[in-house]
Amino acid sequence: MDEVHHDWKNTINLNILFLKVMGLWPRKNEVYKPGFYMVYCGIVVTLFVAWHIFTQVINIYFVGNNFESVVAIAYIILIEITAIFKVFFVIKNTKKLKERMALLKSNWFQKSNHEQKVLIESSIKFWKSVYRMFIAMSVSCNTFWLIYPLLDSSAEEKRLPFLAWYPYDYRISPLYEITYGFQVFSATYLTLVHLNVDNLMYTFNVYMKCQFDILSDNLRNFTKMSSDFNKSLIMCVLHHKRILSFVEDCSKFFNWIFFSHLIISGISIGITMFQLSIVVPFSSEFYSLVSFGVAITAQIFMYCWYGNEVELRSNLVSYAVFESDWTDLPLNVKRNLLIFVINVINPIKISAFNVFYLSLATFMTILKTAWSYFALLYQLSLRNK
Amino acid sequence: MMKFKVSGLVADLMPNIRLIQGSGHFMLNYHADNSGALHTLRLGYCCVTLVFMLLQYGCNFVNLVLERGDVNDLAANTITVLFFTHCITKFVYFAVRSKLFYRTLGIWNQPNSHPLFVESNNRYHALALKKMRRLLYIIIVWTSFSAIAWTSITFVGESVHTTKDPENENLTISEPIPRLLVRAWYPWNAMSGMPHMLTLIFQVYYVFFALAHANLLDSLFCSWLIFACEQLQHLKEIMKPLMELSATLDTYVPKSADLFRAPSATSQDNLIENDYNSKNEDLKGVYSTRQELGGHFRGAALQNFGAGGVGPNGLTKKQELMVRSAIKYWVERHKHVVRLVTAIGDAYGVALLLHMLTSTIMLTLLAYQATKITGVDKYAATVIGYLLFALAQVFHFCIFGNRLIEESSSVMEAAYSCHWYDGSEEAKTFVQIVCQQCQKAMSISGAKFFTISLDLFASVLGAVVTYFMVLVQLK
Repeated sequence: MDEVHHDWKNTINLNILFLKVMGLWPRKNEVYKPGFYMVYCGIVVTLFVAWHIFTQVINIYFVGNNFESVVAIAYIILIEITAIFKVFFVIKNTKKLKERMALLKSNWFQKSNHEQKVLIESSIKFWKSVYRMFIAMSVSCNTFWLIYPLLDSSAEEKRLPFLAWYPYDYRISPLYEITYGFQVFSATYLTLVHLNVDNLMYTFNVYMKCQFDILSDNLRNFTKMSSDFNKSLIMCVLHHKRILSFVEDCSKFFNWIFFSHLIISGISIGITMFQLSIVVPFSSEFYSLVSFGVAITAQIFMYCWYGNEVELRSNLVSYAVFESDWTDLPLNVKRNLLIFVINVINPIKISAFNVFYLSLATFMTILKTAWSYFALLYQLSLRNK
Repeated sequence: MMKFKVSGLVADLMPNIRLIQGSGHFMLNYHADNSGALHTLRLGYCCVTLVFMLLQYGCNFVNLVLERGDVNDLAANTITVLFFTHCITKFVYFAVRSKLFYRTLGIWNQPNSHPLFVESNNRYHALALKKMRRLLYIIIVWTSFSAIAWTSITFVGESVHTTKDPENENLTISEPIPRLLVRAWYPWNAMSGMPHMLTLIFQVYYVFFALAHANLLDSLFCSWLIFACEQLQHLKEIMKPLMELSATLDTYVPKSADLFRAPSATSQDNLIENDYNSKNEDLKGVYSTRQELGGHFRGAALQNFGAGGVGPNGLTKKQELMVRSAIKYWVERHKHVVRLVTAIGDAYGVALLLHMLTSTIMLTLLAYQATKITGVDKYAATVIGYLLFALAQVFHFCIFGNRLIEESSSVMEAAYSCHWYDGSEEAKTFVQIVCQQCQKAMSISGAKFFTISLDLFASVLGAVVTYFMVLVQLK
């Protein structure tokens, strides 16, 4: 068990290290106090995020007439807007996020006995492999995206990975390399933002899921836990209440992020497919688009998958009560049980403002929407030709 | 002359009511002086407004029929006619079903009260009042802004329409038409001069009053919902003190457990000293009554209810009576809120259904019109203006309907989140019944066809986008 504990801590610490480097995680328990770190964060965010996106937005105005260029720029801007939301909300909620993270670190294994730790082990392993897979995907996506202008075009036609407007002519030799380098840094920064903030969210969701598993197991055996049934039941009730408050806090942080992600994913996947249909097949631009499409689909899939998992696990809690040995209990304990069951019958659904729920059904809706946008854009481009 | 007293909802919504009466709706109650002459005068005013609205609407409709040759004109005129159908429908609906509105307005005239919960009740009442006022200001500003924008945009751009060239069948020429807010047919020539000025003024009056009719009724509906939601918040807030009131006293002061020889299973004394659960050591710090109950901790104060006379629930007689009266207050107030919400649904449900029907057709046509936008010009501005206004009207009542659903389903969570396990058996039965009853959320339905919630708005928005995409492809 200790290796699982150890590995898990490693993954979380890696995640936090990335966030620290990106200027989003002030040291220890501090919030953003005026000082070196805050200045560093300010510079990094303004330069790599705000300036980068701003130049691309201005570029839309300059290429207004060419339908395909507008589409090409627009959808990258959309993904970057989700990155802005993520940066903004992480900075805004730093204190609460840190508190939750501290709670998570101390509490994850404390509450469970040996059998429960076995239960959780598989979830934790899955989560770790998801993180590693994401790192791999984003690295490959980033690499492809940043290299294709070099591979695809000849030396004279100096292209940049992101179509943006600069107040100077970027084609002149030293300026071209500097601008290219700047775009490399920006793109890497944005990818890291997506990767790590998403992983933060997955971590919280995995924690919720494991807590529900532990709660279900406790409920199944609450008659065996001690001689005073009422006390053990009430402990489970308190545990459940703590989980509920954790879920509520998390949804407060992540509301806007989920909302923007859900809306923008459908559009982006559709446009990526459209882009794939117009570029030269099997060029490196093609590969970069493929890896980008795979990455954003996987990203929204993991959101919906974890939301679904939490919903499924919370559904099992009421069954767990029924599986316990309740038939011989005194009446007053049964009444407490009744009140508890009425309240856990409805599953906990993670949502964005209670309008869109994170579940696999939502994922299917997003894919269908993406397909319809792709069909529309394809028709429009055929017509324009 | 009898002093005119208002109470309950009518007192709270007096500004709304006065505005509604001012705009010409058939609301003839709620006046201090309802003598024959004044009553006839007011009735006359309402009838005159009705006649004007119908006349102008008729002129619009005649124009629609006359200009049905050209597809673009047909679409544009249909949208205008449908837009004003909202307003006429609401006006006539109110006139026909004003009894139900009066009944809803009178439902809250005699609310119950309990000395323990008066402060909370007043606080939430004041909150509701503040929100209703704020909504009313926003609606007034929005209506005036729309009317002014409509008037100003009339004076931008050319006032022409295209017809077939009388010389050459295949060409179209543009023919000037009167510069008015809405295209309508008049039996007089309104091109210029005095008739044009008078027609323009009449149309400004028409547009402003029509928008006011529709929006004021919607805001009345939403104000009712605000009131119901704040009452539910009040009920949620008093759940916790109610449970504390009924708590068996030995949980507060463990040492005096022998005073209250309640049946063993319910006693929760010594939870803090018990260390049987070595695995869950953190609970020692978690379940400490002083920490959990915070400001409401009353400690030994509740013990002084006379010696002896301990009831079966572990409470003294006096305490039991107080708990029972508090529970009664809670349940009666909840039933009153349910009656209010049912009355609101009965009064306004059909109007919402008609609104959604008209909106669906209008938004489909607007999607079609939107596909013809070529640039930033007067046409684009008018299409987008119509679209935004229609969507804003739907959003207005969807958001308050959604809030009602959320508030009513969170009553169950409030019941659960208080310390129900500490309460007496009677209180626990009460919590159980509340949880079971409040599992189903209270909602307003459009005559049982659909529920008013943000889902409805999302589906309307989605439908508009879908129609737009399909029509763009068919172009």
